[in-house]
Amino acid sequence: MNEHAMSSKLIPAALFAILVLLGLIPIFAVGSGTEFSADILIYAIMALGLYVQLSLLGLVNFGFSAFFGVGGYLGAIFIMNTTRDLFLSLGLTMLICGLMALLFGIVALRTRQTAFTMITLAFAQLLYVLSLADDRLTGGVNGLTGVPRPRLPIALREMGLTVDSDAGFYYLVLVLFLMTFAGVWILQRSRMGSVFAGIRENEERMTVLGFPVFSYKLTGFVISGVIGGYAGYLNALLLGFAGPGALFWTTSGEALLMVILGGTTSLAGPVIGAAVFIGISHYAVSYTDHWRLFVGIAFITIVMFAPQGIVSIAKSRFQAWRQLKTPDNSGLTK
Amino acid sequence: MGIFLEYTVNAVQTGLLLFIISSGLTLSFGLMRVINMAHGSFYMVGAFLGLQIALISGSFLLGLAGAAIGSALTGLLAEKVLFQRIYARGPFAQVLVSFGLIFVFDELVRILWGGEIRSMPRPTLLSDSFEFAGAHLEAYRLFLIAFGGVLSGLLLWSLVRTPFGMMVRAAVDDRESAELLGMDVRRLFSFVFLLGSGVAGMAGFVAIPLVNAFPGMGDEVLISALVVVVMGGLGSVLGSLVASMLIGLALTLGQIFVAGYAPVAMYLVLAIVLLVSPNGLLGKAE
Amino acid sequence: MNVTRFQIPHRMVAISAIVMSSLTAHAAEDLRIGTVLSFSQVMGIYGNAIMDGMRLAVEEAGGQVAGRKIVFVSEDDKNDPKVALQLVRRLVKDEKVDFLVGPVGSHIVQAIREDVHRSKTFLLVANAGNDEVTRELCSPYIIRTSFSNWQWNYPLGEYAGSTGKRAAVVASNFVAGKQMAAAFRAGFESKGGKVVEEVWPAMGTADFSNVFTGLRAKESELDIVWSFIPGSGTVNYVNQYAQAKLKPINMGPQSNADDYFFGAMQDNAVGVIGSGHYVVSMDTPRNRAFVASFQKKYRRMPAAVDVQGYDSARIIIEAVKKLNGQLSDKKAVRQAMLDVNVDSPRGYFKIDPSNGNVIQNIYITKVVKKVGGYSHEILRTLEKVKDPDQSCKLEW
Repeated sequence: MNEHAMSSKLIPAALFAILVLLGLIPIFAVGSGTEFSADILIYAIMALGLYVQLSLLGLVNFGFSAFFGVGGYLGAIFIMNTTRDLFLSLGLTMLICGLMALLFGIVALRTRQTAFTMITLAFAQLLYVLSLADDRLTGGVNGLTGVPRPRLPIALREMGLTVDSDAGFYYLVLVLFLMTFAGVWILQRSRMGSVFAGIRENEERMTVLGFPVFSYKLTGFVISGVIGGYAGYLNALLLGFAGPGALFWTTSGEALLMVILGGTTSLAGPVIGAAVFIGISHYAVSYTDHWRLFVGIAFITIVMFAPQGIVSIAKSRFQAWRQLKTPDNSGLTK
Repeated sequence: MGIFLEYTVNAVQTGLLLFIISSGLTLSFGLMRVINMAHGSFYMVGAFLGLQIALISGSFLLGLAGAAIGSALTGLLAEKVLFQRIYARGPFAQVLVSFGLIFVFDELVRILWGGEIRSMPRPTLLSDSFEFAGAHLEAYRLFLIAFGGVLSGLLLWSLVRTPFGMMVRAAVDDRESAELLGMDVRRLFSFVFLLGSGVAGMAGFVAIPLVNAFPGMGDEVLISALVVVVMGGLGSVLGSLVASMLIGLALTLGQIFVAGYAPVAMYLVLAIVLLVSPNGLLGKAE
Repeated sequence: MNVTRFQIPHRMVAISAIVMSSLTAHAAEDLRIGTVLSFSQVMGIYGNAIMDGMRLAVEEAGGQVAGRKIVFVSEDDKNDPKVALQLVRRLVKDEKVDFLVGPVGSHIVQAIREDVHRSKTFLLVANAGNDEVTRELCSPYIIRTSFSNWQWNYPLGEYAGSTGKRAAVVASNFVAGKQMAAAFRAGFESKGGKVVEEVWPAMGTADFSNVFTGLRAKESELDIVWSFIPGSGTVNYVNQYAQAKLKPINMGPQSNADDYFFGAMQDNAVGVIGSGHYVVSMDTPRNRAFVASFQKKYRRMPAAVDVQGYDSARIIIEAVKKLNGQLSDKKAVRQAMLDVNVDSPRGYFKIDPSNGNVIQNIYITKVVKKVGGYSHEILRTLEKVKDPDQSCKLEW
C-alpha cells in the first residue's frame, strides 16, 4: 500500500478517533477532569481566534485579551441582568465584540507591524485599567461573581439537556469548539483565505493587484475578535466569574504563546498549544512553584530553534518514524 | 503657588524618570527595529542587583554603579546569546523571544530574592525635605530630577555632538546607506543595547526608595515605556522625551482630578496623539 | 459438638476483627484540610503566616484528632481568583478535603463563595475582610475567624471622633477600600466628625506624591487622615507620608502599619494609629504562653494573621474532637464549630451564629519605638465588637 493511500485513510480515521475520545471524556473523567478538559477547549477556541489574525493575516496582535476579557464581562452582565437564555446572551456578546473589533480595527489597522502590536497592547491595557477602576459595571478588582449558567431554550430543556452540570457545559464547549475548528478550516481553504494568505505574504502586491486589502484585514480582524469574544464568554461561565485578570496584557502574551508553541502553520497548532500550555500550568504548579521559568525557557527555545512549533516537530518525527518502518527495496535497512 | 510648584516638581520627576527608562527602548527600536519586551526586566534586574550591593556595602553610589553594570551586562548577554541570532527573522520573533525572557527573569529574581517586597531607605544625605516658596520639596525627588535631567542631557548631547552619536543617528535614519559607508551597525547596536539596559537598570535602582522593588516590577513599567516609544515616534529620542513629559503631566493631572482613573490618562493621550499623527509625535513613516 | 464450640469463638474473632478493622479503617482516614492561600507575590507573607499559625495548632494537638491524622493540602492561589476557583474545585472534587481554610484576598473569597456553598464544604475565612461574606453572601458553610472591614473601621471612626472633628479619607479605588472608608465615616460621623476630603488613588499606585500635595493644600482644615492601601502599597504610603511631613494624624486599620512591615518602614511608622484585633504585646497569660511557643517554633514574633491561622485550626481540631471524627452531619459540624471555646490569644473570641462572623475585641493602637524595634501600644479596647448588620439569611 503506498504512502499516500495510507495517509489519506489515516487522517480521517485519526480525526474520528479523536472526536469519539473528546465526546467520551465526561463519562470517563474523574473529579475535576471534565472541567479541566472544558478549560483546555475554551483556550483552544481563543487560540484559534488569534490564529485567524496571526497566522492567516500575519497581524501580530498583543492585545487579544481585550476580546477575551470583554466577552467574559458581557456574558456575565447579560446573563445576570438582561436574559438568561443561552443563545440570546451568546449572540449579544458576539455582536458587541464584533462591533468593538470593527471600531477598533478601523483605527488600529491603519498602523503597520510594530505600531500595530503596540496599539493593540495599549488598547487591552486601557480596558484593563478601566475595568479595574470602575466598580459598578465591572465590579472592579473583585470582578463579577456568582454568574449562573445560562438556560437552554425550552425545546432542548425538555429533552433533559442542561449546561448546569460539568458534563452539560462541557458538551456546549465541545460543540462550539468543533464549529470554530470547522469554520476556521473552511475559511483557510476558501477564496477569502487565499486572499488572506496573499496579504500575509506581500501586502503591497495584493494592493497593486486591486484587492481591497483594508476591508479584508478588517474582516479577518472582526472574525478573530468575535471568536475571542465567545471564548471569553465561555470562560466566564466555566468559572462563574468575570474579572479584570482576563484583560491584563500577559493573557494576550499567553495566547500568543499557545499559538506559537503549537505551531503557526496548521490548524492543529493552536489547539495543541492550548492543551500543552494549560496542561503544564495545571500540573507543573504542583511540582514546582517556578514552572514559569521553564515555560519561558521552553518558549524561547521553540521560537529560536523550532519556530514551526510542536505540531511540525511531531509531524517530522512521525515522517521519520514512518520511513524507518516502510520496507526499503535496497535491503539496506532492517 | 506653593502647591502648584509641588505638582510641577512631581510631574517633571515622573516624566524624566519615564524618559530615562524608555530611552534604551527607543534607541533599540530606532536602530534595529527591535522591540525588546524584556526591557522592563532589565529595569528590575538592575534594581535588585543594585539593592544587593547597596545592602552589602552600605553605599548608595556603589549600589547605583552595581545596578548600571549588572543590568548592562545582562542586556549584553541577552543580546549576544539570543537577539543576535534572530535579527534576520523579523520583529515578530524578537517580540516573542523577549516576551519569553520576561517569564525567565521574573522567576529568576523570585528564586534568588524571594517573592516579597524589598525596600531601601533614602540615602542620608538626601533624606531631608524643606520649604521653598510655600512648597514642600523633598531632597530625594529633586535628586531624581537632577539625575534624570543630567542623563537626558548627556544622551541628547552625545547624539548631537559626538561622533558616536552621529553614527547612531545616521544608522537610525538610513541603515542601508550607513552600512554601505562602512559602519558596523551590528556592533553599534550591541553597544547601544548595552547602554540602554544599563540606564534602565539605574532607573530601577533609584526608584526603590520611592516605590520599592519586587519581582514583576518591570511589567507595568514596560507598558509605560512602550507607550512613550510609540507616542514619541518609533526611533526618535527627542520624541520620547516630549512624550514622557506629556505623560508625566497627564498622570499628574489625572491624579489630581480623577484619581481612581489616573492611569487611563496615559492611554487617552496616546490615543489622541496617534489619531492626529499615526506615526507618533516625531516619528517617520515605516 | 466439639466443632461447634470451636467455631463460635472463631466467628466471634472474625466478627470482632471486621468490626475493629472498620473502626481503624475509619479512624485511619486522614483529616484533610485544604488551603486556598497566596504564597507568592504581594500577599504571600499573609499566606505563609496563616500556615505557620495552623501548623502550630496542629503540633500542639499532636498532629492528629479523634484518631485521624491531620493533613494539609496546600497550593498557591497566586492571589488570582481564577486560580483560586480552580484550586477550590480540585480540592473539593479530587482531593476530597474535609475543610477549607483561606483566602487572603477579599476578591478571592467572593469568587469562590458559590462553589464553596454548593459543594457543602466548610470554609474558615482566615483573612479576607469583605463584609459581604458574612452579610448578603453569607452561608452556613462559611465561618470567619479573622475580622470584617466594618469591625476594623467603625470603632476607629468612633475613636477618631474623640481626637478630632475633620478627616480626610484616602483609600485605593476598589471595593474593599470603599467599604472600609464607609465604615470609618459612619463611626466618625456618629461622634460628630466630618469627612471633608476623599481621595481614591488608583489600585497599584506606588507614588503618592500628588495625593500628599493635594492634602497639604487642605492641611489647616484637617485633624486626621484615614487611609487604607492594600498589601505592600501601604509601605510606600506610610514612608512617603512621613517624608511629606504632613501634620494630620495618620490613621487606618492595623494592616497599614503591620508588624511585618516595620523593617521596611522603620521610623516612618512611629505615631501611626491603627485598629486591629490582635496586639502581640498584650499582657495576658494566654497571649504570653502563645507568643512563647510561637517564638520557640518559628524564631519570630507572631502577628494578627498568625493568630488567625492558629484559631482556625483550633476550631477545626476541637470541633472534630467533639464529633469524634464523624463529619457527615453538616449541621452538627457547624454547631460544633460554633460551640468551640477557642480561647484565642487575641482575647474574647466567639462566632456569631447568625452570620458566621467573629465577635471579638478591637484594639486601637499607636506605633511606638522601643528597644530593639517597634511595637503597637494599646490606646483603647472596645469589647466584643459585633457586626450589627442583619442582611444575612442563612440557607442550607
